[in-house]
Amino acid sequence: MGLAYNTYLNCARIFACNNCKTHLANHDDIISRNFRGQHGKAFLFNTVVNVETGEPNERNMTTGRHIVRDITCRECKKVVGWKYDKAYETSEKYKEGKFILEAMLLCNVS
Amino acid sequence: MSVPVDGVVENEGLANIKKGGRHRLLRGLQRMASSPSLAHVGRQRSASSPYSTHSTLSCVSLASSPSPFAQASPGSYFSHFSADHSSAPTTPGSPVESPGYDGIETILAVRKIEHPLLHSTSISLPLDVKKKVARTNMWEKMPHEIKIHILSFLLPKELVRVSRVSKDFHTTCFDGQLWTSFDASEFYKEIPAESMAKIIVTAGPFVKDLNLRGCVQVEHYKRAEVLAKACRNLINATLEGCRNFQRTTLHTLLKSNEKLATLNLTGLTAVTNATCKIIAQSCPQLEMFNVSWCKHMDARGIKTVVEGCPKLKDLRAGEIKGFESSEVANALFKTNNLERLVLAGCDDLSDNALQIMVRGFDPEIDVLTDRPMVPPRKLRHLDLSRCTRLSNNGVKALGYLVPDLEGLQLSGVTSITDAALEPIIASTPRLTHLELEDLPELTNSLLSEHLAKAACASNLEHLSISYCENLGDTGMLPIFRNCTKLKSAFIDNTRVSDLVLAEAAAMVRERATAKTTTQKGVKPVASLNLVVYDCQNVTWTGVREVLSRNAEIAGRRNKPIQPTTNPNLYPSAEIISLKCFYGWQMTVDEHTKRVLSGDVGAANRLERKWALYMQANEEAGVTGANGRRRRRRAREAAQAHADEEDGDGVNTGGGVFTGRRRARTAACAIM
Repeated sequence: MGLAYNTYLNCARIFACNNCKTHLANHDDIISRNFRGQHGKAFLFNTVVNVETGEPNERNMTTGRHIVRDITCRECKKVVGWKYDKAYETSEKYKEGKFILEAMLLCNVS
Repeated sequence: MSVPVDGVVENEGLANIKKGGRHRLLRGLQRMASSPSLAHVGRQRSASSPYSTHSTLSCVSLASSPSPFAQASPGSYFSHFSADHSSAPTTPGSPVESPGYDGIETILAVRKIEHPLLHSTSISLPLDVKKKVARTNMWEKMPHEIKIHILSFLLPKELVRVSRVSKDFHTTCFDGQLWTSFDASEFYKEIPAESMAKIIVTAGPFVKDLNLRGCVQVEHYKRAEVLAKACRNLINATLEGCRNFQRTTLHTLLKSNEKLATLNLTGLTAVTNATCKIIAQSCPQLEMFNVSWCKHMDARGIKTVVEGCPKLKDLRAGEIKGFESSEVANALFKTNNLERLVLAGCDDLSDNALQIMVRGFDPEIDVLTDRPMVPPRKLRHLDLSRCTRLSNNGVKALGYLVPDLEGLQLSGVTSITDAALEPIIASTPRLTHLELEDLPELTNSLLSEHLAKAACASNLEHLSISYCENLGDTGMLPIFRNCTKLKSAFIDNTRVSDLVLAEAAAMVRERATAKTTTQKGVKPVASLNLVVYDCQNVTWTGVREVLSRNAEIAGRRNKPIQPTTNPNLYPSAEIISLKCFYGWQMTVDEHTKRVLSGDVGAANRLERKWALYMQANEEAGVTGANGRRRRRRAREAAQAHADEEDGDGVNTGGGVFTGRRRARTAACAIM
């Protein structure tokens, strides 16, 4: 494998990893901000870039059982959130395939 | 007896040259491959092939279609050649079946071999009488400037490709005038390091704009050195993301480019206070300086640059440490040049420092107005987001001292209240962008009493109050009534309700009416971007109201406002683009798309269908078919959750809840 290049987003407000400032997601891609993670507030995104996904785990959240994978920043390898693989409740099906990024581990760049 | 000279064979005495000619024919033939692959282009079979001549010839592609070379121009080698060998068996009617051979093979394949004595209408002149037509090379003859102008239309990647055509092309393509702006942000992933280094070295002193964002391949220090030595006339330089740029290389680059006006060194670990000193000494023309997230420098470096570069207008220093120092603040105060100052995320920035920045050390207080008598700041844009140490005392100092302020960002400065913002809003008539996200202490009166009545209300274009949990209708309604130029409003995660949506729709409708146009049937445009997801009090009825207003505004754009007095005046059509709860977002997007394309009827039908669907869902939820069964299932699900540990995102050991049942509380709804 060659050098790993980061993807750069071209929008007005971008969320980036707090540590290394790699672009992660676009502010317009937010679906909802009404989530809570291990470190407080978390946002649900449609798409994120520059992340690597880990192994699937089954977790019990306040909303039910889910299968999630942790996502880590491509450059500094820190966990920035998780991705929903499967939701067992029908009302939570909309989350499948979407990403949660924790607000504590993000910062705003513009 | 004719002797073949330079391939121009005289057309006489065919029998004489028959024998030698056949060998020449064989040598020049291209065998048709079973698949038209270009690998066979240019390949010549030797005369000693295992095939006999007859069968050889039968395999040859003998094109019967006239090619431009078959019309024997006297200077053309092959057509003459082919015209001589009438002895070769030919099927003049055979169709051409080698598409890949066109253009290249047409020169080399034997064409249209006919007996010249049967068909000839003209016989070419003898060699000594014939004039040699010189081959023209248009490209060579063109003046250099025109060549450069032609090549200037190519993209950098295409230029590199084209440079391989010939030596002349190579020198022209790498002429410095074509490379004055090297912007690698489109192809940084694809260009290998050597090419990049070569281009920049060749273009060298011509490069004025250099954008190497994301070019990690510059890592190898020798290449970066070469780069730094080559560029001497840079005006704009962006090195964001070149992670391992060496400090010495960076310093060389900065020392040799005195004309630098914009410099973006975001995130580089090589930048230190010493770098800033070098910049202050060698780049006096600097106007924009971005060193956000450079971990190894601090505010003292900023001070050196601010003092050394008198033209500095735009300073972005996000997350730089050391801003509590009062010397830095004083330097910023004394040189009152900055128009844009970004200190986002500087959690060292204290109230005291901010006060000094804005009004200096211990200023004289005007007795009458109780305000400091200092020259006003020239700031147009100020970003202090996430500076958590700031509080009311510091932010309040901005009031009345920044009259030109157009953009203000205070998101995340969680401890400020209304009192800090009131003086600022009152004294900034040009304010267009206001971001106040995540400020839980703000109340509605700030919006209704101060912002809606301020001088800037008529100019405000962008307002963001996301996550301000106390703000709601009473604050936003007056805003929508008074701020008629509003282009985007982010009011998610607040207490606003459907009333606000209706008010926004009414405001847009009025301003569309006020803005008239003489054109009939102009397409509607989305002039207000409203973001209201995660608001508990916004229901589908409010969203429906917005959609129906959108359709109505779009629908009446074809009718003149005053048919009797001025039949040529039509209202323009402006609609709201809404971002709401994800469950309804697809319907909203589809509706907006239909309205924007002008198809109001389809949009109305969609809205009616959606309304019926939502109403049916609501009714079905309480009573109606399957109501009881659904409620029982919901209760069972809630009980199942009550059994399991409340994970809160963390999987707490699996063995805890096997076999253990908690007391059932029927009303417990964990979700």
